Amino acid sequence: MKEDRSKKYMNPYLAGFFLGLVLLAAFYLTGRGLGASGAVKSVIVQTVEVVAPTHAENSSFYSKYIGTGTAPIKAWLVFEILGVFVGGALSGAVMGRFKWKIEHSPKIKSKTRLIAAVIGGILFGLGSQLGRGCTSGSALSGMAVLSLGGFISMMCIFGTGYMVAYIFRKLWI
Amino acid sequence: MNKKYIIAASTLIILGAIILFLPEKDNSKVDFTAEKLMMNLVESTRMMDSDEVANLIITKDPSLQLIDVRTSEEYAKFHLPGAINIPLAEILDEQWEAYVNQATRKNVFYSNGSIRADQAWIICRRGGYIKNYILVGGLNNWMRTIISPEIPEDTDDNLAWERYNFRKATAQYFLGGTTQTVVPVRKADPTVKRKKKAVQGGC
Amino acid sequence: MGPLVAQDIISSEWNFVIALLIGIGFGFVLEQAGFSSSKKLAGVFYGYDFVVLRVFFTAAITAMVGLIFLNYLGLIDMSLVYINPTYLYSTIVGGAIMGVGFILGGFCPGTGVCAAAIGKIDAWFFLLGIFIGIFFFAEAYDLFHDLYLGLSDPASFQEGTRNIKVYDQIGISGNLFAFGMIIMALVAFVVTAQIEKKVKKPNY
Repeated sequence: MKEDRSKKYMNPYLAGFFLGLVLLAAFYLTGRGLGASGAVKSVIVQTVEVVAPTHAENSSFYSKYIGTGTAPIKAWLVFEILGVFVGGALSGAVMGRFKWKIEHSPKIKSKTRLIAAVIGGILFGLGSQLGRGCTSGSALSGMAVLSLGGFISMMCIFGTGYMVAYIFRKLWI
Repeated sequence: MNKKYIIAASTLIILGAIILFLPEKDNSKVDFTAEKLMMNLVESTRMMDSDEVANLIITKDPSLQLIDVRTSEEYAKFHLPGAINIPLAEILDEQWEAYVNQATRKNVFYSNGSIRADQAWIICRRGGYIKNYILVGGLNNWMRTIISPEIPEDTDDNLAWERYNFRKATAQYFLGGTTQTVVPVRKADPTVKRKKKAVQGGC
Repeated sequence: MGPLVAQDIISSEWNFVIALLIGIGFGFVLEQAGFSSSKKLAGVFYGYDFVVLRVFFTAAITAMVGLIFLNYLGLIDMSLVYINPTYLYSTIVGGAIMGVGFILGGFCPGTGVCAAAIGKIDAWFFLLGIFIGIFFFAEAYDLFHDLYLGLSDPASFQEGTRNIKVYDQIGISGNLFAFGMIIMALVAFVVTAQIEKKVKKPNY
């Protein structure tokens, strides 16, 4: 009988330790921490530049990024995120967790979950720009280097989350 | 399960306690603000005069490393004994880093006057390098003081004469013993003699 | 001495290979910890699964301690390490928006990618949302311009590079703060473990 490892997760402290090592390696090798939202921004900026160059020039946002010959920092994140995808897939494969699935609380329908996911994503996208990073880039990496911005980021994300958790509890419990 | 956690947590606390006592450390290579550089510039400890350097040469002091920052042509024509040639333009080249960025020997930069040596010193200081000095007045002054020192006046003090003798001897060392050195005999202190006046007596 | 690429000890051509490898490590560990499940992630807000807190704090502390020791041993030049600048109001507002996004979406960008990799459809929709959100920000940038650039931040933030350390802001030494953070995290781990035992778990 094939062992079902799909519910087996690594001890969180151990996982945290390994994640910390990966983060440390990133700092030691490249001088920067991890990130995720930056990669999406890179892709969007590149796409707009290619598809609608005049619009890009005229915009106060995009114009900052063109002409400098895509800042290497931005492309770094894209490669890193591709790596995250591969790494996640690898782990999923090893643990037998590959499955097309819409995860949701039994109290709501799949459709509700998907709509919530999109809205959540939109908010996260917008918020990550203002926050200059998401939980990985700003909060996690920022905390490791003890930057004030990193701690404020973390406190605001989780603080607000706790404040609105009750309102949306049906989504989860 | 519990035991492992206790060990892990204890290790973390111990590491934290160690951190509490670690001193501040800044590993950045270039940390010289303009103010700091200015302070270093006016310090006279970075300057060595001809006598000092001559002394180090004669006593064969191993800590001395003379660095000629003039062009290679100038170096070829004449250079101080034991000096290596690092033209000013090349001072930051990788091949010379082991010479200028070290903490054991005393690097003394020199040029014809002081300008190029000073520039070399500033550049190296900016990079955080230590143990670098300059020969004040450069080769021009070297010639004036060591090779053809001024003969002190009769009225000059002992110190001036000692210095003169030292320089003359030094010049001999550098130029070889063939030069006939005329060592003026030091005139005795002109003591004011009380002339014995014949007692003029008489009434 | 590190950072190796910045000091040219490793050539910058390897930068992208390194990025890929680091990303793989990142994604693998996240998935191993179960961060590919939105239900598990949301658990930290409802008390039934504090895995997010455990992994997050442990990772931050591991890296922080690692950096402190590397610095002490002269193995890294911290002046070459990117320290994210502090834009006070922009971060607060951004963080708040992300907080709501987290509750609704059940992911953050990194974990979203991770979950998408193992087939979670809600994660794909979440990622789609991120694209829309950032695109919206870019197009409506003029609306956010002042906030983003921190033009109304308190004066003490405006001068200089905004490269402010958390311990400087509070007024204690870096090492003391690090020690304090370790103690606080350990306390949090113990407390949350107790809370978790008492909360009813949903089926996941």
